[in-house]
Amino acid sequence: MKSPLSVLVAILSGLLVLAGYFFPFPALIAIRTPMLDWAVTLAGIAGLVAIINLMIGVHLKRLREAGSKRFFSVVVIITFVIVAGFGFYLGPADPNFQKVVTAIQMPIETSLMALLAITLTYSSLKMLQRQRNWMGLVFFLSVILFLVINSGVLAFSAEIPVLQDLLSGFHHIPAAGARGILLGIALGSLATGVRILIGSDKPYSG
Amino acid sequence: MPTLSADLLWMFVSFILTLMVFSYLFGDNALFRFVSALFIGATSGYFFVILIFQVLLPRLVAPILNGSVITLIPLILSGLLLMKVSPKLAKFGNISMAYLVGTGAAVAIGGAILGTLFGQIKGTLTAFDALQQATGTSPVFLILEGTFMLVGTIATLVYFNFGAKNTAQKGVKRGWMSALFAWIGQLFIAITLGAVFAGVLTTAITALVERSDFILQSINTLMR
Amino acid sequence: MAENICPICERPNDPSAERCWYCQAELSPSEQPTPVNGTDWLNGLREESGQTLEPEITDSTIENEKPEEVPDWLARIRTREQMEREAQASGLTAQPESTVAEKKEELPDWLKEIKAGYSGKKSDSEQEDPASESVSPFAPSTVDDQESKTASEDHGDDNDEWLSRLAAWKPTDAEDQSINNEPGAVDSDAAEPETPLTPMETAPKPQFDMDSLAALNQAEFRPFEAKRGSGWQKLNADELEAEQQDDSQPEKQLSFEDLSAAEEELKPANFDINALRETIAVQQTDPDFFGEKTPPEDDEQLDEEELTDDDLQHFNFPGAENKASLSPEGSIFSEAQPEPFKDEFDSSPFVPDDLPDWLATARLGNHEKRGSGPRSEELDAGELAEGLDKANMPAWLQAVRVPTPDADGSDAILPGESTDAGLLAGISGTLQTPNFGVDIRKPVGYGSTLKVSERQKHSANLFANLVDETFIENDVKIPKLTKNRHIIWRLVLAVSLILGILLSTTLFAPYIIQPALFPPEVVSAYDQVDALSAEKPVLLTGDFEAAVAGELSWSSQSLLEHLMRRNINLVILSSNSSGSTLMTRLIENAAINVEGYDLSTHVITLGYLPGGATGVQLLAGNPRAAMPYTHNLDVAWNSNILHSVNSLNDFGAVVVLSDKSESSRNWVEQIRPGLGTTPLIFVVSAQAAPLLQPYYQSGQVSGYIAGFYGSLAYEQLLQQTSGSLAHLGAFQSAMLLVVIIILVGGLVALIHPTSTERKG
Repeated sequence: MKSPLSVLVAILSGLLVLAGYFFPFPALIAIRTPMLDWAVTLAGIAGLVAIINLMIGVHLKRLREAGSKRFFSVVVIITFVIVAGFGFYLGPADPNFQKVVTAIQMPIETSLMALLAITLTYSSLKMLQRQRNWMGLVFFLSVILFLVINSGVLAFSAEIPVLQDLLSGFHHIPAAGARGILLGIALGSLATGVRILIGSDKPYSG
Repeated sequence: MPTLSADLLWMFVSFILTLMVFSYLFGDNALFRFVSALFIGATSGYFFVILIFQVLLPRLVAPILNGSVITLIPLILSGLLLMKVSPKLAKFGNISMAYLVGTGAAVAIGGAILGTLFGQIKGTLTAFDALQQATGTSPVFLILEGTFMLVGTIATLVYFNFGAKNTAQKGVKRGWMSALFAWIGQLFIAITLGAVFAGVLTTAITALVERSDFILQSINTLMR
Repeated sequence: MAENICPICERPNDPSAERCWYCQAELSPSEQPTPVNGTDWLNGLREESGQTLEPEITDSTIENEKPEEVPDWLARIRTREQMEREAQASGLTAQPESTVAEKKEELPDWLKEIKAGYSGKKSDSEQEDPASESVSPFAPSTVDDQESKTASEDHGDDNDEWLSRLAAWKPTDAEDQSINNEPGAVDSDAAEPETPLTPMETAPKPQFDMDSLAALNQAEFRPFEAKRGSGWQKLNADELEAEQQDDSQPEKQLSFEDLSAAEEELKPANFDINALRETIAVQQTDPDFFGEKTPPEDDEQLDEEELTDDDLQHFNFPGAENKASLSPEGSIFSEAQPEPFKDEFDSSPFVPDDLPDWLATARLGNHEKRGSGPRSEELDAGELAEGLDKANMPAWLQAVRVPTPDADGSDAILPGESTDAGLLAGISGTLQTPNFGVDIRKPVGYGSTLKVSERQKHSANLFANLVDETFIENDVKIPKLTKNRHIIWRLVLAVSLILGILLSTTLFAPYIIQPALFPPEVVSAYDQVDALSAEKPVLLTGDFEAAVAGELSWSSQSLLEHLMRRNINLVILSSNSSGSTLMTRLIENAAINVEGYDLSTHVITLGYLPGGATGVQLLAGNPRAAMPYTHNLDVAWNSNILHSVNSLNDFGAVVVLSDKSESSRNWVEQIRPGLGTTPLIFVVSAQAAPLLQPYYQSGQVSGYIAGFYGSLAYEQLLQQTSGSLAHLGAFQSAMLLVVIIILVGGLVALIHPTSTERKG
């Protein structure tokens, strides 16, 4: 077994946290809260590791290699250095520093999402070409229906009772399937978590 | 009305960046790659600053400076985790990763049981409690609605169960009832995923509308 | 005390013994063996054969004398033999000769000689002791080829005849006769002179090996079996005659040249069977006794030699161990000193008078005295070596055989027997490692560098080039025509959508449909917010990406304005790194429309909560521990807004802004169980709404606003206009345009499938 200490740490920490869900004893809560706090801190440090690895391990390494991608790695590194320096100087709460998000990050991401609308619409044109079966047709019709519902054109009148029931019914149809999907996700999370707590899965080793 | 200098400048920057992203409509090009690189660098830098200021300082440095001895534990674990940057020292960070994974698994288990399983099962049963429904809706309709929800939920779960018998004549095959419920569940899943896709499209279209509106406003503002 | 001589083997036994110690024949206490003419019983047989023309009456008289002692089978044999003699004596001597001559061609020489010797001795044995029942085939007989030949000519080739001779045989006085004093003859007891047998004082130890007698009956006793197939019983005098007449081939192994030279001078009845045993015993201990083989081309001779070797191998002569010391290259037949042979036994009917040359000329030494037991005498190796000619082995055998020490125990170091190098250096008698022409050395240690052949290098370079080409070109090469077509279609779509959005405010404004129906979840959210207490702050958490900031800004603005109009304090928190900034921007935008709402006093930003679901669980359990500081690193829980808050239940409501169903689910799972009666309200994008609805229907979520349509509904419920209504036309136009495009594309795909599908 590779590093039994890691396995022991994972199992013990998991069992203590899980016990706090079902046995709200003060002593247990007193242990559980700092443990969760340490996990939150470690999650932040993990983000730091990811950024350092991205900058040093990927883009700095790419600088040493020849190729057209070296220019874009330069852009990345320079932007990172400028923004980080800007942030250390001004602080994260400074409105000017927050412009990085509102003026750079948000426009770019929103524009990418807008591009997604065009791309998804173009891909939807061939929907029935790829799935020429009953379930593909049901999916196609469901997309059309809920696009129309989401646009709000069907809720044009409150005086037609059938319309209200119809819309209500349409809302319930995906809810049943969504409930089944949620239950399935929960069961899967339960199984995965149990496997980790009993040591069957060790995603942290290596 | 935005300030002339700063806000206008930032608006112009946003406008240029939006157009550079929209240049992808003409195919992959250098402008698009440049803006992508810019985005990665800016986001990473901002995230880096946020982590230093809102995770490292308040949770590790400040308690240590305040004399908290127990904070040495997350400090040591953080140090070990930082060794993951080096391929040679990465193995020392396994303990920290194990701690993260263990607590995360426990949180996921607790949330799945208490949050989703109990809540959703209770919700499914509550749908049949017509007496508690005080909305004025007909009890028959409520029962039908509850039955519909129950059947849909069970059918969806049955669809994801791929247990089958190995028959001599026809190979691996489901039972007829299981096959029927799986087919019904497949219908519900198709409808649900259609609704989800429609929601994604709606979100994207909303973003397109917002960006279009922004471009228009920027042009108007810049032309002034 | 007088010895009791055995009537069969003519050996002295203890007078009190009931059976002969050697041949286990019954002994009569007062029985005295009929003196034989000599020690060689075979010679006796030959003498008898010389008197074959005696009247039959003698035989019959002999038979009549002791009818009670002769078994039936023996009597029949004798009778038959007598009849045959009469028939042959009538003058058909030539026929048996021719018959015999024919058979002589078939039989080997030694066998012929044996037959000849036997025929010569037969008549003597019949006259002297016709009552002898058991005879020893090893009893000495005369080795006189000429006489045996004559005798064999007189007798036919019938098996019964041989048996009749066996029955008529009796020991003769052949002890004092030496068979051969020539050099090269077999000498079994070269170290001791032959002495006449004297009566034993004590019971002799068995020297006759019953096993060897049994071996004679086995397949190994080839000389007889090869010719007759089942042992010595079927020895035929005629066959022996035939063998006798065959040319004696020179047999190098036994130095038959020497033997043949003395063959003529060999006196009859001097064959000592005991010496023969000893000779064979030597063969057993010294495999190389007859080491020299004849060349392969002499097949016939080789067969005879092999037969003879094998014949002698299983003879266990007393004192056989004495022969072990002989030189392997020597032969006792070649170098043994001839000594007078004294044998107390008469010639045996089994051993013909005409023995093979090697056997006939074998020098028989003194066989061991009948002492206390088998004696182990050490022979003089040097003396033996002097008298033995070295045999010449064929080259192939000499190369294969392993050099062994001398039979006398002397460690004769053969050339190359001991190695000078290696683990066995200096140790004699070791097997030499065959030299394969390759020096055995320590394995060569290979260095750390990889040794690659030219072909491997070429293959590796080829593979590297292929891989480099793969890495260089990451993009999938799409055909230019197809790529352009995609770009054109996308442009068309984008232009149409943007045009529709732009023209919606002017061209499609009259066709905009304002929703009249409100989703129940929106109504519920509105009711919950409307029922909030203004004294309790509301926790506003943001868990969305900047990509949906625009949609959420439209969706949440109404709700935020509603909260601000209620003058409710807001606590901002984000589980996304950029969420707190975006949340701040949303609140700032909402506050613009609400007068009198001071953000500095009514809003506190706690900052970024990492860890995902783990952080939310920490917040649910202990919000003070989860977010101890504000985003300005100020102590948060000492402020006016949060001083009364110890848990999430102390908040008036928890409003979550989310863009994904997964983050919504995390918040519901972690927050809801410990939230109590505090309402949990969501503001989500349209893509998260379907998977959030079950939570609303189960009562875990108090209400939610989903997408543009939800925000529009909330605005209508709030009865105030905001950005959503202004963009309704654009939104509806874009949505309906997309619906139309997808419908048209689907119908086209149904009616007119693609060319690939048509082909498929």
